[in-house]
Amino acid sequence: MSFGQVGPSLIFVDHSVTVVNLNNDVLAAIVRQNWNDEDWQETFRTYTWHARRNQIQQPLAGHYHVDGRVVYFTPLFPFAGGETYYAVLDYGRLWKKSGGLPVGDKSYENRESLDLIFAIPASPTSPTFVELVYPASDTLPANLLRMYIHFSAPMSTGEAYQHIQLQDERGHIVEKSFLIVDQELWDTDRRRFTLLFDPGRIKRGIQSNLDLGMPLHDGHVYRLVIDSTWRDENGNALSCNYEKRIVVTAPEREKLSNDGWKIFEPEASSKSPMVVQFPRPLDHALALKYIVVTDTFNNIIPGKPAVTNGDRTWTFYPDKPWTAGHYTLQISPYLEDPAGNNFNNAFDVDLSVSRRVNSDEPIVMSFVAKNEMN
Amino acid sequence: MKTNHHGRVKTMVVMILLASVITGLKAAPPAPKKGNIALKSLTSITFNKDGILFLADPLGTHVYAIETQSATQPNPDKLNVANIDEKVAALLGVQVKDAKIVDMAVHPISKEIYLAVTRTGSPAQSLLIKIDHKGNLQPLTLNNVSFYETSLTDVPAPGTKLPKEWHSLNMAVTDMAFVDGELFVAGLSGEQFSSKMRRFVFPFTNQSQAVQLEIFHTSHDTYETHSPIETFLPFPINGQMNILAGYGCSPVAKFSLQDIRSNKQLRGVTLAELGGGNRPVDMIAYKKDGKDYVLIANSDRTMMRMSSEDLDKGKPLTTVVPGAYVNAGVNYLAIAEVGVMQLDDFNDKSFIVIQRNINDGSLNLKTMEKWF
Repeated sequence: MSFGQVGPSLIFVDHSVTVVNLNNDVLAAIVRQNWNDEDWQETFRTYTWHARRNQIQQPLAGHYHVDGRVVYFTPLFPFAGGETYYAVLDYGRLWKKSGGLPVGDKSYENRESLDLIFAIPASPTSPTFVELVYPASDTLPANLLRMYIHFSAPMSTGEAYQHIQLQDERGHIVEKSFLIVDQELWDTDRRRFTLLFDPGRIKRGIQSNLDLGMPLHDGHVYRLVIDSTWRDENGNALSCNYEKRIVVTAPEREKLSNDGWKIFEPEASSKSPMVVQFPRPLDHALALKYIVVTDTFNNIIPGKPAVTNGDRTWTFYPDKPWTAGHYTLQISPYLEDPAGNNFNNAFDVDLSVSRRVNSDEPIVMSFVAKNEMN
Repeated sequence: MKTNHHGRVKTMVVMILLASVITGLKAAPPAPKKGNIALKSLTSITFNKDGILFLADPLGTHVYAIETQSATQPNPDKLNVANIDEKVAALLGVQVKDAKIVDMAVHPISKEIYLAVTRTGSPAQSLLIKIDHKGNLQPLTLNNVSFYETSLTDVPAPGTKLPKEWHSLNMAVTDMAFVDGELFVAGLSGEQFSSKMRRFVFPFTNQSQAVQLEIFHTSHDTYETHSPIETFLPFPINGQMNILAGYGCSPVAKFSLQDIRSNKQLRGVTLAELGGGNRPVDMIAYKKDGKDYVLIANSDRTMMRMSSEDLDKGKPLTTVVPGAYVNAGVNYLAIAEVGVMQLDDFNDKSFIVIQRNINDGSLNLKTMEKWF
């Protein structure tokens, strides 16, 4: 090494690990050889600190390129916040591979590896929390099938069932309450998780139901506990645990019917909401989606629905004022209650009593928007 | 065209329609697209016998098909990637808890192993990793690839009056398999309790219509219920191709392919109850000494082997098993292997598994010899 020359070093900069101050001749020789990612990885590797410490011989995947006098390694996925990494350059190998050294020159043998440990700061984010759990009501049937857990931000996947427990009055865990779906049921934003009770324990005439019994017993009180170690998309824990009280009533084994649905008609020439009340709660997500208002030409009236009052009230806010006249409420036959009963069939179809009905025909109810009497 | 005779015009219209249907059928197979696939999720992968890889992206409501390099290569008797979860995490630059292996498939020709993996992060990433016969891991980018795609969203029946929002979908894909020119996709809705099997003719066309099949099984002769299929396998029973479906808690039912193709709703025949408190996680078919078998990996039980002969002789199960955890119906051999989370056939001598070692807790990808 000539006096005064600064040696090469590894530097972490701009989402990449770089090698700077390489010997010009060595670098020029390597560039001429046109190394691909695999060639580079033989010489210049980056590991997670965990992999380095535990001798897991697996460097990060990524791409290499040379720009000017700098070699860059950019990982396939950005370095993760909160993680520590270890980069190592086998300088002797690089020197040797560069070739073009005078015959008998063994100077590469004394070239040592260069390495660098660097940490990525965890990105400060406001903690994610459980916003709400549906059904909104505390009072629920013993054959409850479905619950929705809404989060304030996108969540990570693959660990949901570790963080959800059903506990009885004494705080004992009710084992095997839920249907485990390895792939997990998320909405597209990963902010709503669908939790299903094990249908095998809700259905009639199935052995696990007869032996283990239903997870929820009429007249008892339970708690659904969501623990804060469930991680959001950034890998951070939730801000706190969430608990929902469940007071259990008799199972709901009847198919849905619109008998007893009450429509409160809106006022024409106004944007007054139209309200429908149901005698028993409906599935929150499906009630938002599977009920629409149409005009006499079967056009859907644009507006925003809301489901409130323990999922017993559907309120529709039209985008435009109502025109005086006739409208129709159209309800999908596949709308369900929280126990999975829909308009066609109860959750369990008792074949000794009835046959399964399969109809796509919507259930329709008429109403009128009237001008206020003056 | 002469229009003085009503009936004739109608006949002609019908003929033209028929002709267009026929030409539609005869049309050349659609060409693949070229470009980038941006996965929103990846929960299930499977190959057809030509090495086309199918990718299920339920959050993106699409299924993709890509061509993969499929040169034959000598495959080793043994392959062992110890601590596969650690290796995958190290490759992706995160800790084990942030990298999850969600599915595995073996390339039918090259016998290389493909993993579907999710990396936690903002945003979360779904990707494919290929493992060669030296045990090297290589992430596969889906940029600038030739691919086919089809939407998973339900296609309304012609003439339906239902609002189109009613067909939007929120589902999990629990398993996929390629059978006789069609991709079968088993899914479970996150909003409506229905378990549907969708069929897609491949190559996917723009008009590719999912044929939905609601399937029921009777664990008992009184109540008819539908449940999500956890895993399924095309398998011949008595000379007829069937879909053998494994359900949670944990009946196995058969559906004949012919019935699946000619029905909208179908009730399967429950052939076996593997015993409660368990979920079948993977099912494969294999041959040993000239006999056909089904091998089942389970969440809470050992691996199980059923023979084709026993399945042929299987009678519908219509009575309740006498107690918790009791099995019934088609008999199985309990194989002394536990913790198998992914299972696929590899070659004449071995299976490939990803298995949790119950002594030290490690997760390992390895060949498992076909002793049985």
